Amino acid sequence: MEIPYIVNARKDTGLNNSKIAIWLFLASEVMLFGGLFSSYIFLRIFADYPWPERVLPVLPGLINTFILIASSVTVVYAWAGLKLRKWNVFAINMTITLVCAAVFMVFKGMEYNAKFHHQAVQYNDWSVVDGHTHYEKDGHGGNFYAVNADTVTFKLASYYDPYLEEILKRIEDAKAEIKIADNYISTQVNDAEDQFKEKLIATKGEEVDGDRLKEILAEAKDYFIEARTHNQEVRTEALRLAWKQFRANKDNKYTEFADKSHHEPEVKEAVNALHAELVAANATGDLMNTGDSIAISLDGALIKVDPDWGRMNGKKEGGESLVKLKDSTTIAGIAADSGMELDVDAIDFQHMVMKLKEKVAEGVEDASAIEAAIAKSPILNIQGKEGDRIRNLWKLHEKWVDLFTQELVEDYGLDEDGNPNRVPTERDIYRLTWKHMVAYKRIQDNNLEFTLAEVKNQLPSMIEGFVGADHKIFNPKDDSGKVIPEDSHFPSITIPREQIRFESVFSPKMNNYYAIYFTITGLHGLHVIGGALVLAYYLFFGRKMYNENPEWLANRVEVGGLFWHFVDLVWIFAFPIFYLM
Amino acid sequence: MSADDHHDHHDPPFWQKYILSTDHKMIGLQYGITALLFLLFGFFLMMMMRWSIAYPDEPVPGWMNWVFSDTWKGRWLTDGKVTGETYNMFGAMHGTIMVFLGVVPLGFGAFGNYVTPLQIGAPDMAFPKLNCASYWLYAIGGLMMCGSFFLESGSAKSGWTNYPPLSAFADSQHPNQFFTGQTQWLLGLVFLISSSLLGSVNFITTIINLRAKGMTWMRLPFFVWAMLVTGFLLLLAFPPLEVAGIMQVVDRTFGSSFFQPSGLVSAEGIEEIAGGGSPLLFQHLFWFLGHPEVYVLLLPSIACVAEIIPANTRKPLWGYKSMVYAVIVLGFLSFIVWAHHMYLTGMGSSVSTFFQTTTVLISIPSVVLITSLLISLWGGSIRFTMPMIWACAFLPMFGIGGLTGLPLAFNLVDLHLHDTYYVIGHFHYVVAPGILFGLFAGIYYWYPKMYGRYMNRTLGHLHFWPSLVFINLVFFPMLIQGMAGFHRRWYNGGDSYMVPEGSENVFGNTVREFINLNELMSISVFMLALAQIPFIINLFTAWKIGKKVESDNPWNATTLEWATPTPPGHGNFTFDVAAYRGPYEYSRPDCEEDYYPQWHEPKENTSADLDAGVQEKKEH
Amino acid sequence: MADSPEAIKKSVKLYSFIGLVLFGCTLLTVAVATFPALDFGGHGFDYMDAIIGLAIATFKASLVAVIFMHLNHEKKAIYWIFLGAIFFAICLILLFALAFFDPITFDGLMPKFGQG
Repeated sequence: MEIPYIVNARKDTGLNNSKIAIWLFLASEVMLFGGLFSSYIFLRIFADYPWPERVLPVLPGLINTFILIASSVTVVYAWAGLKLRKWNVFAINMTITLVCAAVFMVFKGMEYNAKFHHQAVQYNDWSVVDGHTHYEKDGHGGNFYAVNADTVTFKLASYYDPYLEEILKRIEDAKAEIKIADNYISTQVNDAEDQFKEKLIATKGEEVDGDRLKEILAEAKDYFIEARTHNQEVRTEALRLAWKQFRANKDNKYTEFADKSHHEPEVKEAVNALHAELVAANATGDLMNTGDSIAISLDGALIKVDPDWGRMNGKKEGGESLVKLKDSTTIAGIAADSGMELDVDAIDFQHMVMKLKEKVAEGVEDASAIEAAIAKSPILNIQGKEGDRIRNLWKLHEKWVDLFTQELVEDYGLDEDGNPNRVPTERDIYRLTWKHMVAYKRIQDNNLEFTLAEVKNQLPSMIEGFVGADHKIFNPKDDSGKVIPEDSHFPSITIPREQIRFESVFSPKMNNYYAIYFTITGLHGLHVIGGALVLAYYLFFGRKMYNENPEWLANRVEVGGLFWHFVDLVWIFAFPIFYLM
Repeated sequence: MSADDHHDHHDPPFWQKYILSTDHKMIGLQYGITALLFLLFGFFLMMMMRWSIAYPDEPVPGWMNWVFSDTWKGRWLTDGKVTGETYNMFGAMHGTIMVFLGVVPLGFGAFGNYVTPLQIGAPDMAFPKLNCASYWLYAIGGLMMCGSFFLESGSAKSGWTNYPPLSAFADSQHPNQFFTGQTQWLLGLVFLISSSLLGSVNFITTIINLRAKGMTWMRLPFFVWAMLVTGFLLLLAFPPLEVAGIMQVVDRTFGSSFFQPSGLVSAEGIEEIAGGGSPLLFQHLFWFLGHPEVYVLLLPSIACVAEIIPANTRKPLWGYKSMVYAVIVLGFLSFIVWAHHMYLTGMGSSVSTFFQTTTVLISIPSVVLITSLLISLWGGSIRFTMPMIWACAFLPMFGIGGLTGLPLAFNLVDLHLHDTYYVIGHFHYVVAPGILFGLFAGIYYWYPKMYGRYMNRTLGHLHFWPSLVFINLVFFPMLIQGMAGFHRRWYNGGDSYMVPEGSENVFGNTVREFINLNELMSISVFMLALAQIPFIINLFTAWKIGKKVESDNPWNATTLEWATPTPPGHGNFTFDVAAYRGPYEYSRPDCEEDYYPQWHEPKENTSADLDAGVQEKKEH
Repeated sequence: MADSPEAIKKSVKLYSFIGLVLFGCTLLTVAVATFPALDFGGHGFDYMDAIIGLAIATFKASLVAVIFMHLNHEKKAIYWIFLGAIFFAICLILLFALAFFDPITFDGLMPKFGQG
């Protein structure tokens, strides 16, 4: 049996099977990416925070666009080579296509990697700083909830081994003693003697090490689940018995409920009372002890956990603190230094200003509140040399904004009401980007005149922009021409945890712009990989098919090529939308 | 054909013949058996739910809860009773299983796969290996979803609609998000959607390109038209749900806020998320699929009924052309009605008017379909074979379902009825006594072709009559309760709103008035369960001890699947099949017999040739 | 479907030319987005820039679809399938947006925040 029209076209439709199939598949892909792009439009229009514009370095995106267009062209050349029965043309062009795909993914990987190592922190007043923590380089700073723990409580049913391991490791590093906080008693029914037997799984005050604690928890967990199961069986039997007895006694003890339905509140009350009686009287079995957690005392050992693992109530250093992890483990004690050390490469007041402008529009706040809020912001009120550097940079930025506003008025004039035709955007005014920081600092270090043209001149080049904010980029030199290392990094600050409203690396968690960016480009990347694998299959294993039935291979490559072009199509939209808008 | 082609088809090993089969008939069977098993499981979950609704304070009886392990019961039942959280788990999974793992795979996957290539005269589907992949993706996705019952977090529990932020909070306090029921549900859904996409590509390509000679578009049986439209609905409507699913997975695993608005507060305090997202976005994406999905449920069933009625009235299908145009328009319109599921989200009047209009419009093609089927009965020589009995029951049941949907189409009425038991009554009427009866009809109809034996009539009646009676007793009271104001997803059937007699609480008194209907419905459900036992026995015994068919065309039908041997072998047809006429040539005055099969060559309408089945290879 | 060797060679020339056009359009998109002189509408990103950017992107996409994916000499059935999908995708986008541009959620020119 042979399926017809695999290679040759059917006369009345003029198509072979795979041609129809790929176009149908592409139709569904149109709906897929259509759904994603429509979600993008939604999320952007209805964002209640300033939508990030032009925050991605354009050069890698641009290069990737060229690479993908080139690969689209070469894949067509490859197909043409097959149709002209020139294997070498096919092989060379297909190889180039695959190389292009690989390079595309490499650039994508580099872009993603840079984002996952870049941090943003939002203060309680909604102002934002972007930057890098040093943690990977020198172990300082980093991002932790730190508690000098007195008690850690583990919930038996849900404690998560990786969290347990990490906590034990920290305890070991702190060289602290672990003591069990309370007795944990298991009660077992000893069937032979029909009596309860008590066993101490953990003793109050018992000193244990990591392994012993794990043993205790495992044993207690098994017991707890057994006890919970047993108790539910007892209570269930008791409830069945209660209903049975209730119904049986409708003529004597429960006459008032004789014709009442089981939904009546009084009936339920009566049955529940009967149930409680039966349970208490051990009518259907004994209940086992079901303590659901085991706690350990630590006497102030320093425990640090990843903030993604849970919540911290009480963030101020030195105050009472309770960290609750996702597996319901709680760490109680005094908060240690959970601050974040950051090399600041951007300062952003847009969100804060947006919220204030809403209030001004409603008449709740005065227009001057915006200036006041900026001046009061923690970023501009940091003590010390680094704080001075930041204040200085911000002052220069305000100067730049004034100059830029003037230039726009000079270039574009005023309208009938005397208002400028063009004004700087919110982003221009309230976001100090790393490129401007670099330009301002270069102007200062080299004692240049602060003009718009000079700023433009001193901006980092497109190549430098490709690499992103390099923290040694300033290179201020002393009189002898040697670079001053202490001054060549971006301003370095420490942010106390209680001032942080929200922090994240530039991942989907940061905001919906990054979330939809990663989702669409990630899905697109998967499609690139998938398409490349299919094309690679035809390149490496297609020779045999070429020898037997070259038209069949040409059809297959054409279908693969159509998919490849669609992938290119998606990128044609994704590039301007994410990188340029 | 070269000799080589037959060589590798001789005696494939067990795993290739039954497990990784690429034959559309075996795959259809795989889909069918798996779907029926999932339907049974979904039914069981619903029984547990109905126990909780009727007897919220009583422990689940032993004859129902023996299925669960003691540890599971210890975790999820309190005092043996179904808790609210457990009920939500059952509710979410009941809906998901019935829709995605039960009815669609049965209708489209099983019937579609088995019958479509036969009816168009094709040797198999266009892409047999893809077909195999479709089935296994479905099976794996289904197992992932159901397997989540064994996880610490339990299965999904936020409704089959899985709306965020509730669904985002559910199972969020688990460190490993991959092993939570909610995430497994989303990932399983991605598998199911992929399975559907591959399936629909296969179906559409097959129908376009593999039709036999002479099988023009207007000679296609209505069944095939319905499958074609269903394929397009699946192809174009599923991707936005995939988008929504992917975005929810990203929300859960990477902490994004696609669907989380700013300022969310939970028991722990203000949520530490970026915010700025939109729960409404999820609803739009979900229902963009959700509405075409209900037509995906319907069309295979109505397709079965449309084949059975002509064969059992010995008359052509009335209004075949109108039905074809109606089903195409139905498919098209189904894409632009979705927001009638969202009337209560605060949408403005212009938008809700738009959707109200399109929704009322879409009732027209549905009415055309059902009316044509009804008129097809008029003046027919009706044979009440088992399939015909089910098909005839489909018509009024689906009619009730459809008519009860009309009030829901209007945004004003929906204000009162949204999220009440009226909605549940409506859609269950359409799916359970409607669609499922149509699919049962199909099983009884094509069973003789698959196994060469009829299903037992006595068991068939024992299955049909109790099912018909009890299913109406289950769903009709829901319409009443819904209009009285009973909400959906109440785990105790309204029990918490009960007030003592003589109370002044108006709602409490309404609940009191209608709450006893719950018992009637639940007992009917248990009876309904018993009524399925004859069916299960029949399915598994008839293939061995059922009455043998007299020929390859036991119903004396006209469509091409009856031209194959019983059961059809690899490649389906033993001769070069072609279609010479339309699909419903019954009772032609110029014919001796009361039917004129599609594949009979024009000069050979002698009675000797009308013995349907294997024909000798013709010399051309 | 162009099948003869000469037709294919001619097509290849066309593909190379279109490839160059695509490169050019990409540079144009970046230029329009980068140089202030080409900033239409108000300063900074506004609806004008969105329209221009998307228009260029649509033009590029059409070139790829029509010429690279040879939709221009494809059978009608394929046309309908693809156009149908695009139509429904547009429905998806427009109707979503319509759902919001309604008196309850729409306040003059700006959508009310938090109504999504």
